[in-house]
Amino acid sequence: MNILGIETSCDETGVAVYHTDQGLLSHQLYTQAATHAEYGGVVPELASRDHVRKLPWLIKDALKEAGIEAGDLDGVAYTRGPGLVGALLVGISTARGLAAGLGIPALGVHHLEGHLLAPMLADNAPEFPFVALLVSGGHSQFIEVLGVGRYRLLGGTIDDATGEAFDKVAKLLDLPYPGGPHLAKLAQQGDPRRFKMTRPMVDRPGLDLSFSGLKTQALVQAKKLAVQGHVRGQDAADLAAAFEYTVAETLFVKCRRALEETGLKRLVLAGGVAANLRLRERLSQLDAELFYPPLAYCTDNGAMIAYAGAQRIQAGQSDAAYPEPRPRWPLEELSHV
Amino acid sequence: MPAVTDLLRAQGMAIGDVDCLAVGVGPGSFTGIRVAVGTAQGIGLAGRTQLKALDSMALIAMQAGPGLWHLALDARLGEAYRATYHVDDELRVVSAPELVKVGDLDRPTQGALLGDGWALNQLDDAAPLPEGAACEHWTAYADARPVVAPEALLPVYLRDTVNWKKRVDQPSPLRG
Ligand SMILES: Nc1ncnc2c1ncn2[C@@H]1O[C@H](COP(=O)(O)OP(=O)(O)O)[C@@H](O)[C@H]1O
Repeated sequence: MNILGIETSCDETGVAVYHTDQGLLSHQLYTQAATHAEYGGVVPELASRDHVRKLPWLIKDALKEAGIEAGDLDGVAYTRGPGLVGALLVGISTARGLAAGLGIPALGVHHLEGHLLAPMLADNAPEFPFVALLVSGGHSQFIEVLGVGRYRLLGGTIDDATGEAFDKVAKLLDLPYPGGPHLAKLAQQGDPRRFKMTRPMVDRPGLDLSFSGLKTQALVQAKKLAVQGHVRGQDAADLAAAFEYTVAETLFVKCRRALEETGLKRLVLAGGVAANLRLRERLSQLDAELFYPPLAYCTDNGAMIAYAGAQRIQAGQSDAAYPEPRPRWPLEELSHV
Repeated sequence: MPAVTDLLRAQGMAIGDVDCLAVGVGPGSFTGIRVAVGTAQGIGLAGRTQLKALDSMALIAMQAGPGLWHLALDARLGEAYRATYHVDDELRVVSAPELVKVGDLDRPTQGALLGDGWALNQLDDAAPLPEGAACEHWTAYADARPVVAPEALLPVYLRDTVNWKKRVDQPSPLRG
């Protein structure tokens, strides 16, 4: 089966074709970072405009790259939520129009299921069950994954998402948007021990996370260092390093606990922050097998939606009625496959 | 979309049987237009249906029937979409849609006011927006429009600014 995947939940327009036997056939991505950079964050109306402008091109390119025609598709999967409602509506509309025009099934996919299953696109894919740490710009959760659609939430952030905290601290340091990768780069030149930060929530039981306190610690330190409103040079690098180090240490402690509590030996790191190399390095020291998606499929992309959709469409699932977007959508509501 | 599929099903048709799809691309509600445009792009990409872009305000004027119509639609933020059409056997665009301040909505010397924009400037005798989808003479208008590729079917917004602070204008937490 050829399944087209469409992702438009936030500021990335992604389209891919996944074949249920041959694997991923194509992958096209348009990153809107430049559109939102001057605002320092995603502007929902501009995100929707970029999606509707770019999506048909990406669909054409993805089909071409896969060497197939629209008529060769057997299903269309699209992100139904969570995400920005206006952005989701673009993907839903185009996907549903295409599926209706071709007379093939369409299926709304949960964005986080896409992230959770993205490691399956790697050469070294994990087997079920595993513990997933999903850390992105909008989410930070521990999830026990028993199979496709069989998810148990173990804990999550009570305030900011990990990527969001990265982006906010990066903004303090005048780094371009989105700041996560820029902060990570700057941190390479920094000394993580110059500023001591408390690891949030590690002395509390359970698997909940919190990053707003850490962000405040960074702000307090940045205020002390600021000269005319800017933190520069080695000061900025050291602060970036301390922040990144503290995040990695916190997640290390929590991951160890998640593995202990579930008795599982496989850990999957997914979501945009899974691209962070220091975090990967630290988590590789755990007594568990560590998996992560190929770098290109850590941040939002169409491939993970095509893959997740393919698992479900192959099992006979499809949208019953015309679906509304689900800007908020608990992962546990998903059906098993 | 359910409305479209239901209508077609009642005729024993599916979307793939439609040869040409003409779509109102704005101006109007940004989200509403994007749903229409996105859906049509998808249908067009299936490869069996040609697409045409229609002016959404012209469609409203044609729905209202014969006459000289001065149409103003509430565009929020103290602005309105304004256009004038002459409708009889065919459509004549007297002035194409533009974005104007509501304070600049003045009563023209002839013709009738139409739409919810006029009341924003205390002109309360405008005809309300016509209801239903019946719209005379629109096929002649659609016939005259060129076929466009799915990626060239794009919304007409008229407003290109967003109500959002640029980073250079945002206060820095490190100052003061
Ligand atoms: N190398 C990195 N280090 C830290 N954070 C990163 C890195 N690369 C990406 N990110 C962060 O990942 C987030 C984007 O991930 P994504 O999965 O696209 O998020 P979402 O779908 O929730 O918006 C951003 O917050 C970005 O800063």
